[in-house]
Amino acid sequence: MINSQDFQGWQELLADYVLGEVTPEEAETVRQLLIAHPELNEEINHLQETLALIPLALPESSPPKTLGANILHLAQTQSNAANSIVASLKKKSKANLLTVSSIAISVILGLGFYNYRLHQELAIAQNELSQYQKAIATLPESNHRLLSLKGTNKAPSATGVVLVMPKMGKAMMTVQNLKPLPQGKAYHLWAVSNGKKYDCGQFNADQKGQVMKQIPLDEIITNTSTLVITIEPTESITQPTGAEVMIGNI
Amino acid sequence: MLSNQTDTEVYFALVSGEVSALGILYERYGEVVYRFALRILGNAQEAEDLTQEVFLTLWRNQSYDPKRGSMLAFLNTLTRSKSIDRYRQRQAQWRSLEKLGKSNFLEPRNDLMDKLALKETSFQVRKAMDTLPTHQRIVLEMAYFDGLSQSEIAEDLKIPLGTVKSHKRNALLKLRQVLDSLV
Repeated sequence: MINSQDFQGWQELLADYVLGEVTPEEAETVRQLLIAHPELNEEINHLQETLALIPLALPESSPPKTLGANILHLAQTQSNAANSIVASLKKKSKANLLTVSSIAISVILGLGFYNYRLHQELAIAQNELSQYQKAIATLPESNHRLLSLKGTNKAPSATGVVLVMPKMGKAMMTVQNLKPLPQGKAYHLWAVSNGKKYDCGQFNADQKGQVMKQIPLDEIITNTSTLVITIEPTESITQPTGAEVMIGNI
Repeated sequence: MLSNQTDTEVYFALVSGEVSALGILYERYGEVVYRFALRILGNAQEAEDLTQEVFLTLWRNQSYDPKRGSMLAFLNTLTRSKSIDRYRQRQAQWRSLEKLGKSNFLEPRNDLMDKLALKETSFQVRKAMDTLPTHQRIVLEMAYFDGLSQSEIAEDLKIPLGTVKSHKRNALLKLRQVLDSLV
């Protein structure tokens, strides 16, 4: 049983502990105290919960209305990419291949999320990505392919990735740091095959410079090793005429 | 229906891969996470990015343990540590730029939210904060929102180190007492 006088003294120590303001000796005292009186864990929990309520005292805010939808969209995209790669590997689930693929997935996910702003990290991740995509290409049952997109001098900070998933019948593209275009203009994605460029659809970036687009899969995009993004009018065209803003390679 | 379930039940749905569960948790706590990140980072765009990062971390890492505390406590702890890290990183970048002369910048209680709507809880927490003596409240906010150490607070407010420690402790214990019904 803990008497109330002891409890009061201990509660001060526990408060310091929860606030991260104890010396190593005091931390040891807390540890011993919790061994002798495990019921004090509950008090620690109450103090932690109290501390976590403090942000509620801040004035209410208005997050952008699209934020929740963006988060769900990213989470869904990450799941789809992860599931499709893992599913394709199940048939020949050699442990080492799975390890490589899980690293590759984390790189893909990393590109999808962390690198909106962290260009330096992106450079490192892309370097790793190029290594892992080679690893993916060597997997016997996986014909997923990754093409990394880089901005030209027209859009030097733009980066992106296209994940081609033939067995899923689709390809996904994510791009960051691309300027939204005014009305009447659009980005066009072209797949290069035998020296010819084939239109793979048009898109625009959102206000934050982000693009998340599913690309219809055909033989050309399945097999291409080079992608080009140009700025064109929104009308359908057969050949690019505008400036190249991004180029993608395996 | 998932939206009528407790945080723990919704979290387990999330772990099983239901992306709609993440949507429900965002509906419940997205505003608080954003509010908190906005206070620490002082910038709407960064607060938005950080809110996104917190919820995608929850989705990806699934490191919440309902036995260790409420979802609100978990998200607020994650938000605080990520926001303060980001803030410090930014400060360090500015300092190094300045140095180079290249810049002019200077299961327990998961059902908490079932008992009280967030607005009501916020109202109670604000009232509880108002009961704190001014100096205790200032010290607690400097430590909690600005991530300042005891010695930094002591220097800023020109008070002894021991006083900073006791103000923080007393503020927390007072809140613990006033908010007893919520924790």
